Amino acid sequence: MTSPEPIPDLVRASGSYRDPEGFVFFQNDRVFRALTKDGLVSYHDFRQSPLCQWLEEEHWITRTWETDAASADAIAAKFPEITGVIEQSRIPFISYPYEWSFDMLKDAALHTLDLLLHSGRHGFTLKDATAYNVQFLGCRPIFIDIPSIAKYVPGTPWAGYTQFCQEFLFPLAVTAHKGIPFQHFLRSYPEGIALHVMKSLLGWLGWRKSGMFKHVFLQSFFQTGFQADNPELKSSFQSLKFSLDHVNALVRAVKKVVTQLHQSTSQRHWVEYFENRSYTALEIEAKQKFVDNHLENIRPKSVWDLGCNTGEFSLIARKYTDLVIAADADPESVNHLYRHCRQNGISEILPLVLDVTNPSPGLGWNNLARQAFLDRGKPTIVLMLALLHHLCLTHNVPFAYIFDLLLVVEAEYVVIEFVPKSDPMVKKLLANREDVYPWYNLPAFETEAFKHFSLVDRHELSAGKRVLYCLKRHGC
Amino acid sequence: MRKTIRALLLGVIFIEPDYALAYIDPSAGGLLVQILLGGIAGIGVLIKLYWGKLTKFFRKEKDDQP
Repeated sequence: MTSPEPIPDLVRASGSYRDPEGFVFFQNDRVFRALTKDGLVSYHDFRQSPLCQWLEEEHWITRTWETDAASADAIAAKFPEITGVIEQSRIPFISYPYEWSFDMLKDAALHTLDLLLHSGRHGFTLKDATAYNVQFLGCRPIFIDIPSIAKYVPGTPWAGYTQFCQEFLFPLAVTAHKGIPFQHFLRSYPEGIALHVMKSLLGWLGWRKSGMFKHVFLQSFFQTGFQADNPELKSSFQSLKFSLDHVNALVRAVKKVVTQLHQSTSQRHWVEYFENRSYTALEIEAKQKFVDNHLENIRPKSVWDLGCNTGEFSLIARKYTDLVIAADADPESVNHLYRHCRQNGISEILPLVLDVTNPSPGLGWNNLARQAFLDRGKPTIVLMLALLHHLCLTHNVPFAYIFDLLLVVEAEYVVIEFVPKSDPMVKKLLANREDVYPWYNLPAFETEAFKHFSLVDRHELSAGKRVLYCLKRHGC
Repeated sequence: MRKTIRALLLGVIFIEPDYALAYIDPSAGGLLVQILLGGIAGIGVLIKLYWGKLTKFFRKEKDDQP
Protein backbone atom coordinates (compact mmCIF):
# COMPACT_ATOMS: atom_id res chain seq x y z
CA MET A 1 0.00 0.00 0.00
CA THR A 2 1.35 3.38 -0.97
CA SER A 3 0.38 6.34 1.17
CA PRO A 4 -1.37 9.17 -0.66
CA GLU A 5 1.06 10.69 -3.12
CA PRO A 6 0.23 14.09 -4.45
CA ILE A 7 1.96 14.06 -7.84
CA PRO A 8 0.92 17.16 -9.76
CA ASP A 9 -2.87 17.36 -9.35
CA LEU A 10 -3.06 13.58 -9.08
CA VAL A 11 -3.92 12.09 -5.67
CA ARG A 12 -4.54 8.44 -4.92
CA ALA A 13 -7.57 7.84 -2.63
CA SER A 14 -6.12 6.72 0.69
CA GLY A 15 -8.87 4.18 1.35
CA SER A 16 -8.68 2.49 -2.05
CA TYR A 17 -6.19 -0.36 -1.74
CA ARG A 18 -8.14 -3.58 -1.21
CA ASP A 19 -9.18 -4.44 -4.78
CA PRO A 20 -6.21 -5.96 -6.65
CA GLU A 21 -7.78 -4.95 -9.96
CA GLY A 22 -7.58 -1.21 -9.46
CA PHE A 23 -7.83 1.86 -7.27
CA VAL A 24 -9.39 5.31 -7.11
CA PHE A 25 -7.55 8.56 -7.63
CA PHE A 26 -8.53 12.19 -7.87
CA GLN A 27 -7.49 15.02 -10.14
CA ASN A 28 -8.88 18.23 -8.69
CA ASP A 29 -12.67 17.75 -8.79
CA ARG A 30 -12.59 14.66 -11.00
CA VAL A 31 -12.75 11.03 -9.83
CA PHE A 32 -10.95 8.24 -11.70
CA ARG A 33 -10.45 4.51 -11.34
CA ALA A 34 -7.17 3.03 -12.48
CA LEU A 35 -7.62 -0.57 -13.65
CA THR A 36 -5.21 -3.45 -14.18
CA LYS A 37 -5.46 -5.59 -17.32
CA ASP A 38 -7.93 -8.00 -15.65
CA GLY A 39 -9.87 -5.11 -14.17
CA LEU A 40 -10.21 -3.45 -17.55
CA VAL A 41 -11.42 -6.65 -19.24
CA SER A 42 -14.00 -7.11 -16.49
CA TYR A 43 -15.12 -3.47 -16.82
CA HIS A 44 -15.50 -3.78 -20.59
CA ASP A 45 -17.67 -6.90 -20.12
CA PHE A 46 -19.94 -4.96 -17.81
CA ARG A 47 -19.85 -1.72 -19.81
CA GLN A 48 -21.01 -3.48 -22.96
CA SER A 49 -23.87 -5.31 -21.24
CA PRO A 50 -27.47 -4.02 -21.23
CA LEU A 51 -27.27 -4.28 -17.43
CA CYS A 52 -24.85 -1.34 -17.23
CA GLN A 53 -27.05 0.91 -19.32
CA TRP A 54 -30.14 0.03 -17.30
CA LEU A 55 -28.42 0.58 -13.94
CA GLU A 56 -27.09 3.97 -15.05
CA GLU A 57 -30.41 5.12 -16.44
CA GLU A 58 -32.20 4.13 -13.23
CA HIS A 59 -29.47 5.86 -11.14
CA TRP A 60 -28.66 2.64 -9.28
CA ILE A 61 -24.95 3.16 -9.95
CA THR A 62 -22.70 6.14 -10.64
CA ARG A 63 -22.00 6.86 -14.29
CA THR A 64 -18.58 5.85 -15.62
CA TRP A 65 -16.85 6.45 -18.93
CA GLU A 66 -13.47 5.92 -20.57
CA THR A 67 -11.30 8.90 -19.79
CA ASP A 68 -9.15 11.19 -21.87
CA ALA A 69 -5.68 10.03 -22.81
CA ALA A 70 -3.79 12.66 -20.79
CA SER A 71 -5.10 11.44 -17.43
CA ALA A 72 -4.62 7.79 -18.42
CA ASP A 73 -1.02 8.42 -19.47
CA ALA A 74 -0.25 10.34 -16.28
CA ILE A 75 -1.49 7.53 -14.06
CA ALA A 76 0.06 4.78 -16.19
CA ALA A 77 3.44 6.51 -15.92
CA LYS A 78 3.19 6.46 -12.14
CA PHE A 79 1.71 2.95 -11.75
CA PRO A 80 3.05 0.52 -14.37
CA GLU A 81 0.55 -2.24 -13.43
CA ILE A 82 -2.27 -0.01 -14.67
CA THR A 83 -3.68 -0.66 -18.14
CA GLY A 84 -6.71 1.62 -18.30
CA VAL A 85 -8.41 4.50 -16.55
CA ILE A 86 -12.10 5.25 -16.28
CA GLU A 87 -13.72 8.36 -14.93
CA GLN A 88 -16.83 8.42 -12.78
CA SER A 89 -19.28 11.11 -11.72
CA ARG A 90 -18.46 12.77 -8.44
CA ILE A 91 -20.61 12.45 -5.32
CA PRO A 92 -21.22 15.99 -3.96
CA PHE A 93 -20.59 15.01 -0.32
CA ILE A 94 -19.07 11.71 0.81
CA SER A 95 -20.67 10.17 3.89
CA TYR A 96 -19.90 6.96 5.76
CA PRO A 97 -22.13 4.23 7.23
CA TYR A 98 -21.33 5.33 10.78
CA GLU A 99 -22.95 8.68 9.94
CA TRP A 100 -26.14 7.19 8.53
CA SER A 101 -29.43 6.73 10.32
CA PHE A 102 -31.13 3.34 10.64
CA ASP A 103 -33.24 3.64 7.50
CA MET A 104 -30.28 4.98 5.53
CA LEU A 105 -28.23 1.88 6.34
CA LYS A 106 -31.29 -0.29 5.69
CA ASP A 107 -31.93 1.33 2.30
CA ALA A 108 -28.23 0.99 1.42
CA ALA A 109 -28.44 -2.71 2.38
CA LEU A 110 -31.55 -3.29 0.28
CA HIS A 111 -29.97 -1.37 -2.60
CA THR A 112 -26.94 -3.68 -2.48
CA LEU A 113 -29.14 -6.80 -2.40
CA ASP A 114 -31.39 -5.58 -5.21
CA LEU A 115 -28.33 -4.75 -7.27
CA LEU A 116 -27.01 -8.25 -6.66
CA LEU A 117 -30.32 -9.87 -7.65
CA HIS A 118 -30.69 -7.70 -10.73
CA SER A 119 -27.09 -8.27 -11.81
CA GLY A 120 -27.65 -12.01 -11.43
CA ARG A 121 -30.33 -11.93 -14.12
CA HIS A 122 -27.62 -10.78 -16.54
CA GLY A 123 -24.98 -13.23 -15.35
CA PHE A 124 -23.15 -10.70 -13.18
CA THR A 125 -22.50 -10.54 -9.46
CA LEU A 126 -20.78 -8.32 -6.86
CA LYS A 127 -17.23 -9.17 -5.86
CA ASP A 128 -17.83 -7.78 -2.37
CA ALA A 129 -20.61 -6.29 -0.29
CA THR A 130 -19.14 -3.51 1.80
CA ALA A 131 -21.35 -0.68 2.98
CA TYR A 132 -18.65 1.74 1.81
CA ASN A 133 -19.60 0.89 -1.80
CA VAL A 134 -22.80 2.87 -1.32
CA GLN A 135 -23.16 6.64 -1.12
CA PHE A 136 -26.18 8.91 -0.89
CA LEU A 137 -27.28 11.45 -3.45
CA GLY A 138 -29.61 13.34 -1.15
CA CYS A 139 -31.85 10.58 0.14
CA ARG A 140 -31.19 8.08 -2.66
CA PRO A 141 -28.60 5.35 -2.21
CA ILE A 142 -26.27 4.90 -5.15
CA PHE A 143 -23.63 2.22 -5.77
CA ILE A 144 -20.21 3.70 -6.54
CA ASP A 145 -17.76 0.79 -6.83
CA ILE A 146 -18.36 -0.15 -10.46
CA PRO A 147 -15.38 -2.57 -10.82
CA SER A 148 -17.03 -4.61 -8.05
CA ILE A 149 -19.66 -5.70 -10.61
CA ALA A 150 -18.17 -8.68 -12.42
CA LYS A 151 -19.25 -11.81 -14.31
CA TYR A 152 -20.49 -14.63 -12.10
CA VAL A 153 -18.22 -17.69 -12.16
CA PRO A 154 -20.35 -20.87 -12.00
CA GLY A 155 -19.64 -23.02 -8.95
CA THR A 156 -18.77 -20.12 -6.69
CA PRO A 157 -20.67 -18.88 -3.62
CA TRP A 158 -21.78 -15.32 -2.75
CA ALA A 159 -18.34 -13.91 -1.95
CA GLY A 160 -19.65 -10.94 0.03
CA TYR A 161 -22.08 -12.82 2.27
CA THR A 162 -20.14 -12.55 5.53
CA GLN A 163 -19.07 -9.00 4.71
CA PHE A 164 -22.71 -8.07 4.11
CA CYS A 165 -23.67 -9.59 7.47
CA GLN A 166 -20.94 -7.69 9.30
CA GLU A 167 -21.42 -4.30 7.67
CA PHE A 168 -25.19 -4.23 7.10
CA LEU A 169 -27.22 -7.01 8.71
CA PHE A 170 -25.60 -7.14 12.14
CA PRO A 171 -25.52 -3.35 12.73
CA LEU A 172 -29.19 -3.10 11.75
CA ALA A 173 -30.11 -6.09 13.94
CA VAL A 174 -28.22 -4.66 16.93
CA THR A 175 -30.29 -1.50 16.74
CA ALA A 176 -33.58 -3.25 15.96
CA HIS A 177 -33.30 -6.04 18.53
CA LYS A 178 -31.17 -4.52 21.28
CA GLY A 179 -31.91 -0.81 20.92
CA ILE A 180 -28.18 0.01 20.65
CA PRO A 181 -27.30 2.63 18.00
CA PHE A 182 -25.04 0.93 15.44
CA GLN A 183 -23.11 4.09 14.51
CA HIS A 184 -20.56 3.70 17.32
CA PHE A 185 -19.85 0.09 16.33
CA LEU A 186 -19.26 0.97 12.69
CA ARG A 187 -17.01 3.86 13.65
CA SER A 188 -14.93 1.53 15.81
CA TYR A 189 -14.93 -1.57 13.59
CA PRO A 190 -13.86 -0.74 10.02
CA GLU A 191 -14.88 -4.25 8.87
CA GLY A 192 -18.25 -4.13 10.61
CA ILE A 193 -19.46 -6.13 13.61
CA ALA A 194 -17.59 -9.46 13.78
CA LEU A 195 -19.50 -12.70 14.28
CA HIS A 196 -18.32 -13.35 17.83
CA VAL A 197 -19.11 -9.75 18.85
CA MET A 198 -22.57 -10.01 17.33
CA LYS A 199 -23.20 -13.29 19.12
CA SER A 200 -22.28 -11.72 22.45
CA LEU A 201 -24.42 -8.68 21.77
CA LEU A 202 -27.48 -10.78 20.95
CA GLY A 203 -27.13 -12.94 24.06
CA TRP A 204 -28.23 -16.54 24.56
CA LEU A 205 -31.79 -16.03 23.45
CA GLY A 206 -30.89 -13.97 20.42
CA TRP A 207 -31.24 -16.94 18.08
CA ARG A 208 -35.03 -16.65 18.37
CA LYS A 209 -35.04 -13.39 16.37
CA SER A 210 -35.79 -13.72 12.70
CA GLY A 211 -32.75 -14.82 10.71
CA MET A 212 -30.35 -14.59 13.64
CA PHE A 213 -30.03 -18.35 14.15
CA LYS A 214 -28.73 -18.94 10.63
CA HIS A 215 -26.79 -15.76 9.97
CA VAL A 216 -25.22 -15.35 13.41
CA PHE A 217 -25.26 -18.53 15.46
CA LEU A 218 -24.95 -21.13 12.72
CA GLN A 219 -22.36 -19.08 10.85
CA SER A 220 -20.43 -18.63 14.08
CA PHE A 221 -20.61 -22.37 14.80
CA PHE A 222 -19.32 -23.24 11.34
CA GLN A 223 -16.67 -20.56 11.61
CA THR A 224 -14.74 -22.46 14.24
CA GLY A 225 -14.53 -25.73 12.35
CA PHE A 226 -12.86 -24.86 9.09
CA GLN A 227 -10.47 -22.48 7.46
CA ALA A 228 -11.75 -20.62 4.41
CA ASP A 229 -8.84 -21.83 2.29
CA ASN A 230 -9.61 -25.48 3.10
CA PRO A 231 -9.46 -27.24 -0.30
CA GLU A 232 -12.33 -29.57 0.65
CA LEU A 233 -14.50 -26.55 1.38
CA LYS A 234 -13.79 -24.98 -1.99
CA SER A 235 -14.29 -28.20 -3.97
CA SER A 236 -17.62 -28.67 -2.20
CA PHE A 237 -19.13 -25.82 -4.20
CA GLN A 238 -18.03 -27.48 -7.41
CA SER A 239 -19.47 -30.85 -6.35
CA LEU A 240 -22.75 -29.15 -5.43
CA LYS A 241 -22.86 -27.49 -8.86
CA PHE A 242 -23.38 -24.24 -7.01
CA SER A 243 -25.07 -21.68 -9.22
CA LEU A 244 -26.62 -18.23 -9.29
CA ASP A 245 -29.89 -19.83 -8.18
CA HIS A 246 -28.26 -20.82 -4.91
CA VAL A 247 -26.72 -17.38 -4.50
CA ASN A 248 -30.05 -15.69 -5.25
CA ALA A 249 -31.86 -17.90 -2.74
CA LEU A 250 -29.51 -16.73 0.01
CA VAL A 251 -29.72 -13.09 -1.13
CA ARG A 252 -33.52 -13.26 -1.03
CA ALA A 253 -33.44 -14.88 2.41
CA VAL A 254 -31.15 -12.12 3.71
CA LYS A 255 -33.34 -9.48 2.06
CA LYS A 256 -36.39 -10.83 3.88
CA VAL A 257 -34.57 -10.54 7.22
CA VAL A 258 -33.35 -6.99 6.48
CA THR A 259 -36.84 -5.88 5.36
CA GLN A 260 -38.32 -7.05 8.66
CA LEU A 261 -35.88 -5.01 10.77
CA HIS A 262 -37.28 -1.77 12.16
CA GLN A 263 -35.92 0.81 14.52
CA SER A 264 -37.82 1.03 17.78
CA THR A 265 -38.55 4.70 18.37
CA SER A 266 -38.45 6.37 21.75
CA GLN A 267 -40.46 9.44 20.65
CA ARG A 268 -37.46 11.55 21.63
CA HIS A 269 -37.58 13.58 18.47
CA TRP A 270 -41.09 14.64 19.37
CA VAL A 271 -39.78 15.97 22.68
CA GLU A 272 -37.31 18.12 20.77
CA TYR A 273 -40.01 19.01 18.34
CA PHE A 274 -42.00 20.45 21.23
CA GLU A 275 -38.97 22.41 22.34
CA ASN A 276 -39.16 24.32 19.10
CA ARG A 277 -42.85 24.76 19.65
CA SER A 278 -42.18 26.66 22.91
CA TYR A 279 -42.09 29.72 20.67
CA THR A 280 -45.31 31.51 19.82
CA ALA A 281 -46.64 31.11 16.30
CA LEU A 282 -45.48 34.64 15.49
CA GLU A 283 -41.96 33.89 16.70
CA ILE A 284 -41.77 30.71 14.69
CA GLU A 285 -42.81 32.66 11.65
CA ALA A 286 -40.28 35.42 12.38
CA LYS A 287 -37.48 32.88 12.83
CA GLN A 288 -38.35 31.05 9.62
CA LYS A 289 -38.57 34.36 7.75
CA PHE A 290 -35.18 35.49 9.08
CA VAL A 291 -33.51 32.27 7.90
CA ASP A 292 -35.40 32.26 4.60
CA ASN A 293 -34.54 35.89 3.78
CA HIS A 294 -30.83 35.52 4.40
CA LEU A 295 -30.54 32.25 2.51
CA GLU A 296 -32.38 33.84 -0.39
CA ASN A 297 -29.94 36.78 -0.40
CA ILE A 298 -26.82 34.63 -0.05
CA ARG A 299 -27.84 31.82 -2.46
CA PRO A 300 -25.25 29.48 -0.91
CA LYS A 301 -23.46 26.69 -2.75
CA SER A 302 -23.82 24.52 0.32
CA VAL A 303 -25.41 24.74 3.76
CA TRP A 304 -24.52 22.87 6.94
CA ASP A 305 -27.43 22.77 9.38
CA LEU A 306 -25.74 21.72 12.62
CA GLY A 307 -28.07 20.44 15.32
CA CYS A 308 -30.79 20.21 12.68
CA ASN A 309 -33.19 18.17 14.86
CA THR A 310 -35.96 17.04 12.50
CA GLY A 311 -34.77 19.42 9.78
CA GLU A 312 -37.23 22.31 9.96
CA PHE A 313 -34.64 24.77 8.69
CA SER A 314 -32.90 22.36 6.33
CA LEU A 315 -36.21 22.14 4.52
CA ILE A 316 -36.16 25.94 4.11
CA ALA A 317 -32.50 25.95 3.07
CA ARG A 318 -33.02 23.43 0.28
CA LYS A 319 -34.99 26.04 -1.66
CA TYR A 320 -31.81 28.02 -2.21
CA THR A 321 -29.06 25.41 -2.61
CA ASP A 322 -28.41 21.97 -4.06
CA LEU A 323 -26.61 20.68 -0.97
CA VAL A 324 -27.77 20.81 2.63
CA ILE A 325 -25.87 18.72 5.17
CA ALA A 326 -28.41 18.25 7.96
CA ALA A 327 -26.53 16.94 10.98
CA ASP A 328 -27.74 16.00 14.44
CA ALA A 329 -26.42 13.78 17.22
CA ASP A 330 -29.80 12.11 17.71
CA PRO A 331 -30.16 9.13 15.31
CA GLU A 332 -33.95 9.13 15.62
CA SER A 333 -34.34 12.77 14.61
CA VAL A 334 -32.05 12.22 11.64
CA ASN A 335 -33.98 9.11 10.67
CA HIS A 336 -37.21 11.09 10.88
CA LEU A 337 -35.81 13.69 8.49
CA TYR A 338 -34.44 11.01 6.14
CA ARG A 339 -37.82 9.29 5.90
CA HIS A 340 -39.53 12.61 5.25
CA CYS A 341 -37.08 13.45 2.46
CA ARG A 342 -37.27 9.95 0.98
CA GLN A 343 -41.07 9.96 0.96
CA ASN A 344 -41.25 13.40 -0.61
CA GLY A 345 -38.48 12.93 -3.16
CA ILE A 346 -36.32 15.69 -1.64
CA SER A 347 -32.88 15.40 -3.18
CA GLU A 348 -31.00 18.42 -1.82
CA ILE A 349 -30.76 17.31 1.82
CA LEU A 350 -28.24 14.76 3.12
CA PRO A 351 -29.19 13.91 6.72
CA LEU A 352 -26.32 12.66 8.88
CA VAL A 353 -25.95 11.42 12.44
CA LEU A 354 -23.20 13.64 13.75
CA ASP A 355 -22.34 15.06 17.16
CA VAL A 356 -20.94 18.57 16.70
CA THR A 357 -18.88 18.12 19.87
CA ASN A 358 -17.32 14.93 18.47
CA PRO A 359 -17.49 14.94 14.66
CA SER A 360 -16.21 11.90 12.71
CA PRO A 361 -12.41 11.82 12.76
CA GLY A 362 -10.10 10.51 10.03
CA LEU A 363 -10.14 6.72 10.25
CA GLY A 364 -8.42 3.65 8.86
CA TRP A 365 -4.91 3.42 7.42
CA ASN A 366 -2.87 6.48 8.37
CA ASN A 367 -6.17 7.94 9.59
CA LEU A 368 -6.77 8.81 5.95
CA ALA A 369 -8.87 5.95 4.58
CA ARG A 370 -12.04 7.69 5.80
CA GLN A 371 -11.90 11.46 5.80
CA ALA A 372 -12.69 13.48 8.89
CA PHE A 373 -16.10 15.17 8.61
CA LEU A 374 -14.63 18.66 8.90
CA ASP A 375 -12.27 17.99 5.97
CA ARG A 376 -15.01 16.97 3.57
CA GLY A 377 -16.29 20.34 2.45
CA LYS A 378 -16.46 24.04 3.01
CA PRO A 379 -20.00 25.27 3.63
CA THR A 380 -21.01 28.67 2.35
CA ILE A 381 -23.24 29.04 5.38
CA VAL A 382 -23.65 27.24 8.68
CA LEU A 383 -26.97 27.24 10.54
CA MET A 384 -26.73 26.90 14.32
CA LEU A 385 -30.29 27.34 15.53
CA ALA A 386 -31.35 26.45 19.07
CA LEU A 387 -27.95 24.77 19.45
CA LEU A 388 -25.70 27.25 21.25
CA HIS A 389 -27.16 26.70 24.75
CA HIS A 390 -26.76 22.91 24.39
CA LEU A 391 -23.12 23.27 23.35
CA CYS A 392 -22.22 25.83 26.01
CA LEU A 393 -24.30 24.74 28.98
CA THR A 394 -24.47 20.96 28.48
CA HIS A 395 -21.03 20.39 26.99
CA ASN A 396 -19.20 23.43 28.46
CA VAL A 397 -17.97 24.57 25.04
CA PRO A 398 -16.69 28.19 25.25
CA PHE A 399 -17.93 30.80 22.74
CA ALA A 400 -14.42 31.06 21.31
CA TYR A 401 -14.46 27.35 20.37
CA ILE A 402 -17.75 27.75 18.52
CA PHE A 403 -16.29 30.46 16.30
CA ASP A 404 -13.05 28.48 15.93
CA LEU A 405 -15.09 25.65 14.44
CA LEU A 406 -16.66 28.04 11.95
CA LEU A 407 -13.18 29.27 10.98
CA VAL A 408 -11.88 25.72 10.59
CA VAL A 409 -14.61 24.83 8.08
CA GLU A 410 -14.14 28.23 6.41
CA ALA A 411 -17.83 29.11 6.63
CA GLU A 412 -18.49 32.43 4.90
CA TYR A 413 -21.69 33.05 6.82
CA VAL A 414 -23.36 31.78 9.96
CA VAL A 415 -26.93 32.14 11.11
CA ILE A 416 -26.76 31.57 14.85
CA GLU A 417 -29.30 31.87 17.65
CA PHE A 418 -28.37 33.10 21.10
CA VAL A 419 -30.62 31.65 23.80
CA PRO A 420 -30.30 33.62 27.09
CA LYS A 421 -30.41 32.20 30.61
CA SER A 422 -33.88 33.68 31.09
CA ASP A 423 -35.25 31.36 28.41
CA PRO A 424 -37.46 28.53 29.77
CA MET A 425 -35.42 25.87 27.95
CA VAL A 426 -32.14 27.14 29.43
CA LYS A 427 -33.74 27.29 32.89
CA LYS A 428 -34.63 23.63 32.41
CA LEU A 429 -31.05 22.80 31.46
CA LEU A 430 -29.73 24.50 34.61
CA ALA A 431 -32.56 23.47 36.94
CA ASN A 432 -30.64 20.89 38.95
CA ARG A 433 -27.13 22.21 38.46
CA GLU A 434 -24.98 24.95 39.80
CA ASP A 435 -24.73 27.80 37.34
CA VAL A 436 -21.00 27.90 36.65
CA TYR A 437 -21.42 29.83 33.43
CA PRO A 438 -21.04 33.52 34.35
CA TRP A 439 -19.50 34.02 30.91
CA TYR A 440 -22.68 32.88 29.15
CA ASN A 441 -24.27 36.22 28.31
CA LEU A 442 -25.10 38.28 25.25
CA PRO A 443 -22.29 40.90 25.47
CA ALA A 444 -19.65 38.15 25.83
CA PHE A 445 -21.17 36.29 22.90
CA GLU A 446 -21.13 39.38 20.69
CA THR A 447 -17.56 40.26 21.67
CA GLU A 448 -16.39 36.81 20.58
CA ALA A 449 -18.51 36.79 17.43
CA PHE A 450 -17.30 40.16 16.20
CA LYS A 451 -13.64 39.17 16.52
CA HIS A 452 -14.03 37.09 13.37
CA PHE A 453 -17.39 37.98 11.86
CA SER A 454 -19.24 41.14 11.01
CA LEU A 455 -22.92 41.73 11.56
CA VAL A 456 -25.23 41.31 8.59
CA ASP A 457 -28.48 41.28 10.55
CA ARG A 458 -29.79 40.84 14.07
CA HIS A 459 -33.33 40.07 15.18
CA GLU A 460 -34.74 39.74 18.70
CA LEU A 461 -37.52 37.26 19.26
CA SER A 462 -39.67 38.70 22.04
CA ALA A 463 -40.28 35.83 24.47
CA GLY A 464 -37.19 34.99 26.52
CA LYS A 465 -35.29 37.40 24.25
CA ARG A 466 -33.69 34.85 22.02
CA VAL A 467 -31.60 36.70 19.43
CA LEU A 468 -30.95 35.67 15.86
CA TYR A 469 -27.77 36.74 14.08
CA CYS A 470 -26.65 36.54 10.50
CA LEU A 471 -22.87 37.01 10.49
CA LYS A 472 -20.33 37.23 7.70
CA ARG A 473 -16.71 36.14 8.14
CA HIS A 474 -14.14 38.94 7.95
CA GLY A 475 -12.47 39.05 4.57
CA CYS A 476 -15.28 37.27 2.69
CA MET B 1 -7.26 -39.04 31.48
CA ARG B 2 -5.98 -37.91 28.16
CA LYS B 3 -8.98 -39.53 26.49
CA THR B 4 -11.34 -37.73 28.85
CA ILE B 5 -9.77 -34.39 27.99
CA ARG B 6 -10.07 -35.22 24.28
CA ALA B 7 -13.73 -36.12 24.72
CA LEU B 8 -14.41 -32.89 26.59
CA LEU B 9 -12.65 -30.88 23.92
CA LEU B 10 -14.67 -32.68 21.23
CA GLY B 11 -17.84 -31.75 23.10
CA VAL B 12 -16.78 -28.10 23.18
CA ILE B 13 -16.07 -28.15 19.43
CA PHE B 14 -19.51 -29.45 18.56
CA ILE B 15 -21.68 -27.90 21.23
CA GLU B 16 -20.43 -24.39 21.87
CA PRO B 17 -17.81 -22.97 19.59
CA ASP B 18 -16.05 -19.98 21.09
CA TYR B 19 -14.04 -17.41 19.23
CA ALA B 20 -10.59 -18.58 20.19
CA LEU B 21 -10.08 -19.29 16.49
CA ALA B 22 -10.98 -15.78 15.46
CA TYR B 23 -7.78 -15.48 13.44
CA ILE B 24 -9.40 -17.84 10.90
CA ASP B 25 -10.57 -16.18 7.71
CA PRO B 26 -14.02 -14.92 8.69
CA SER B 27 -15.65 -16.16 5.51
CA ALA B 28 -15.31 -19.86 6.51
CA GLY B 29 -18.59 -19.75 8.42
CA GLY B 30 -20.25 -17.95 5.53
CA LEU B 31 -19.10 -20.59 3.05
CA LEU B 32 -20.51 -23.40 5.21
CA VAL B 33 -23.86 -21.62 5.62
CA GLN B 34 -23.98 -21.44 1.83
CA ILE B 35 -23.13 -25.15 1.48
CA LEU B 36 -26.26 -25.79 3.55
CA LEU B 37 -28.16 -24.06 0.73
CA GLY B 38 -27.31 -26.96 -1.53
CA GLY B 39 -30.39 -28.66 -0.05
CA ILE B 40 -30.11 -32.38 0.70
CA ALA B 41 -26.90 -32.53 -1.33
CA GLY B 42 -25.53 -29.67 0.74
CA ILE B 43 -26.37 -31.42 4.00
CA GLY B 44 -24.65 -34.50 2.60
CA VAL B 45 -21.52 -32.47 1.87
CA LEU B 46 -21.61 -30.98 5.36
CA ILE B 47 -21.90 -34.39 6.96
CA LYS B 48 -18.99 -35.56 4.81
CA LEU B 49 -16.88 -32.55 5.85
CA TYR B 50 -17.57 -33.06 9.54
CA TRP B 51 -17.11 -36.84 9.25
CA GLY B 52 -13.72 -36.14 7.72
CA LYS B 53 -12.86 -33.93 10.69
CA LEU B 54 -14.04 -36.51 13.16
CA THR B 55 -12.10 -39.41 11.64
CA LYS B 56 -9.04 -37.20 11.34
CA PHE B 57 -9.39 -36.38 15.03
CA PHE B 58 -9.57 -40.04 16.08
CA ARG B 59 -6.81 -40.99 13.67
CA LYS B 60 -4.67 -38.44 15.46
CA GLU B 61 -5.74 -39.92 18.80
CA LYS B 62 -4.66 -43.37 17.60
CA ASP B 63 -1.38 -42.06 16.24
CA ASP B 64 -0.64 -40.40 19.58
CA GLN B 65 -0.84 -43.72 21.44
CA PRO B 66 2.52 -45.41 22.08
